[in-house]
Amino acid sequence: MVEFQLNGKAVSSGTGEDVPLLFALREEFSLNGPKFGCGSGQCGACTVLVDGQAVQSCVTPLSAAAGSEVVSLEGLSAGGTLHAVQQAFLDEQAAQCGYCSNGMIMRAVELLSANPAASDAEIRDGMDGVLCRCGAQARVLKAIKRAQSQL
Amino acid sequence: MTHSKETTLSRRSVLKGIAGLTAFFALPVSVRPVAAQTKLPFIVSRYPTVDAWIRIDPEGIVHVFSGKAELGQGIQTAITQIVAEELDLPVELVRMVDPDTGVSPEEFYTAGSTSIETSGMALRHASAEIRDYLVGMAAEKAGVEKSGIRAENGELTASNGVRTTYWSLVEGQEINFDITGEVAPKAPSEFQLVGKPQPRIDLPAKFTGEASYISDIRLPGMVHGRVVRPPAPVFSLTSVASGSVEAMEGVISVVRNGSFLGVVAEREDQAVAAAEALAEAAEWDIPKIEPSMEDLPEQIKSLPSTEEVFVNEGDVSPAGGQRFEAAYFRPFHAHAAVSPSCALAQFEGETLTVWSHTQGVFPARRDMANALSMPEENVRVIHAHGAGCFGHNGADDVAMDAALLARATGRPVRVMWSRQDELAHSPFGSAMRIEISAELGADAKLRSYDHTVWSGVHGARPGFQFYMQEKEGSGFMPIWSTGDGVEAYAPRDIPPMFGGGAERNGEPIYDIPNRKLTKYLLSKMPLRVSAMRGLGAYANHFAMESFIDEVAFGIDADPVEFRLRHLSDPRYRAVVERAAEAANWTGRSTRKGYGRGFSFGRYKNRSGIFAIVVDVNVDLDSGEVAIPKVAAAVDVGQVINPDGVINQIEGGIIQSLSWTMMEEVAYDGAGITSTDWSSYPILSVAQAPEVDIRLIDRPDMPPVGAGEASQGPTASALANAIFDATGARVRDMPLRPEKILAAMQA
Ligand code: FES
Ligand code: FES
Repeated sequence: MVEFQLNGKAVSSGTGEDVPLLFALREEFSLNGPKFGCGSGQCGACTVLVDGQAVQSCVTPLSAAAGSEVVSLEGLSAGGTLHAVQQAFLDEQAAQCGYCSNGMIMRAVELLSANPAASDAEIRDGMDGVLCRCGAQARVLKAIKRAQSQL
Repeated sequence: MTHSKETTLSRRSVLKGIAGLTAFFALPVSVRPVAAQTKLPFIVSRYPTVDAWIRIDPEGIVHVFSGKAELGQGIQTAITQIVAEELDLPVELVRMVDPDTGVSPEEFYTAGSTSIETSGMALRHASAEIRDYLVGMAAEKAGVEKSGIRAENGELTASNGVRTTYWSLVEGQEINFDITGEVAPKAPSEFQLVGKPQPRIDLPAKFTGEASYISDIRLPGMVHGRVVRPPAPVFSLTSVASGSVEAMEGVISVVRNGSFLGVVAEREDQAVAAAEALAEAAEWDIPKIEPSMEDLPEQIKSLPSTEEVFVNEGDVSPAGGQRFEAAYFRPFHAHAAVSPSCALAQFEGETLTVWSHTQGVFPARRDMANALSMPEENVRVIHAHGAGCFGHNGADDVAMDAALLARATGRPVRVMWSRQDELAHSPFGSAMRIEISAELGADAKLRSYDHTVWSGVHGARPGFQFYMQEKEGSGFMPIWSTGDGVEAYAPRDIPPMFGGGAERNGEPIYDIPNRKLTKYLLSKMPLRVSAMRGLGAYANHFAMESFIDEVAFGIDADPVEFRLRHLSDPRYRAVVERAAEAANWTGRSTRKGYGRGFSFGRYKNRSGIFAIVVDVNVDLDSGEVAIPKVAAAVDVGQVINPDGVINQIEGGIIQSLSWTMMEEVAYDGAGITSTDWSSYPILSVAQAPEVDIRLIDRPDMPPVGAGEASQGPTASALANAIFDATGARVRDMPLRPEKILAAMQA
């Protein structure tokens, strides 16, 4: 059994310790926010926050979450209010298909909490490894800047 | 008009429409009736009654049925705006139903940027006529003229104060009269919603992790399947020792049918692990892939082909003026969706239900039923959202994988491809070679333009064979390798009535008197090819608009002014001028290492009109290209959702920059080698330019799609900018640093 906090609730998982966290979150806990994109840490679609750090849950074993606080996209707006980053993504309509949005939003949340005054260059670099195929990249950058000004 | 007393909304008219479609399939393309004679879109003749399109739920919701699928392009939002506008409703009370062969009108594929022109316009008329009908009922009830009724939020208020609602009027009624085209939809000047930015209705759920995608569907009793294949277009399984895989934890069964090899397990992680083990245990025979990647740009011309001349006006042979010639190349490109393709399939007795992010639920159903030797009515295909697909990717194939595994195991099976599957097994956008020659007249304008393209097909989707009179074979790759004896159908290219395939946009829209367009359609490509965003238009535009820049440079003309010399249509001139203005165009750059490129085009020569200026900084030592800014102008006729159009155009620009600058499917004799994001890199967030798009609204013009308008011109604008910055003309995509350096030294 691996015990951890998931979106503010204590949970325990009987899915094997070596199973990627992503599969446990999606299958055992029925989350939809973290998504499968590559399974090899290259695209960011599966990003969740583990103790505030954005991690790629497809290459993180479940055991690594033991005793940690895991927050997924669902957990960002748990109280019914959107996180400033989610709101900014809506305000900028920063997606087309939205499949990359989980990774973009989660990574941006981490980036802005670690470095609230991030420069344009730091924001660009900070989003490295989160891929978008639809060409929403420019809007994503605008959304992060907007969120930055709100936070 | 019929006004029956039945209380349930029957599917009679929907079924009538489907029966009509059999005739549609059976007609050869050339004699199919054309919709041009009527202002109603052609599809209305197949689905003539309003309830095929719109059903009003007395609970206070309007359900909208369309065969057009949400692919991330925002079609559901735009169509919702159109319907809400005509019914005077807020968008919140209008719900689009995802395409479903069980309930939706059959509308071909969601492709070619035509959804607004067809489905959108059918729904505009259906909505206007329903509103008129309900207003008529309200007027009768109140004893006033129709003009004495005001509609708002579903409430109908008569001039004498009598009130009713859509919802109470439809209670117990079946609203299923024929769409006549006699009720005029609103004039653009009356629009409240259309033409105003509307936030996408599907994004809030997608930004908060609500179940939105096909991969979020969980069926009761569902199990997980994976299929194992080598990364090659043609293969056969010679042996597999699957005993140890069958013994793995959670494995329900290993399925082998000819060279189709799959595994089904209780949990997804178990299916992934079992598929990896199965891949280790399998031996394949793979015929050598030829010609090689290195030889393809030259050898593509000697592959077996059929020649077709599409345009031959005047005489393009030399007439003594200054002549120009150049050849261009596009490699294979991958659709490379951020989500690998996913599908679910469930057999219940004799019936099969498939959930798929296919672009055509009806064609997929027909092909699947045929391939599985099932009656078509026993197969239902339901669309669910996927990641942006940009053409025929693995969406359909994975649905067949799921169906085959469900058939073999009797369980509801979900299959999600791996990243490697997605990059190796989805069909690719075809490699293409283009040769252009042209001649300048004494007036310093082009007097002739001769464009020749060598390419594989741009349309091999499941079900397309039935529209093309081919009755044999299937478009679903997984079935080809089974022992079921179903082969790939022989694809033809997309016919001109749909905008053409490889030759799309090979004819200039410039005023050039002598013009020729020839296509060599290659019947056997080294890799599997099919539809990818823009089809042939992307590479034809790249070639043509690079070429125009070369000619302008050759005679020392400004690229914008040179194009305007050949443009008399005021809409075209407006777009060119607007883009130049947005970019503060002042001519070519005078600073080495910094460049500006211009390009212009009209998608399919009849759809979105687009012009763009791309700015680049090129590192003269490394050849690395940075794109700080692009500015563009677009005219797509009447604009339904301005932000939706801008989002589509912007996405197309950024994606095209990625294709053009860095993308190329890599392969060797044994298979595809670009099977992850490090070997098939795409443009990162950090590399994205600032984008400035100016929309020219033409409320009185018919609306056309925006999805593919920016793809081709952006590619050439990038090449032209790199040339401007460096003097290096790279005609062979992708425009990678080493090619730029080599061209600089040449
Ligand atoms: S799915 Fe985890 S990084 Fe791609
Ligand atoms: S919006 Fe589709 S992948 Fe980013």
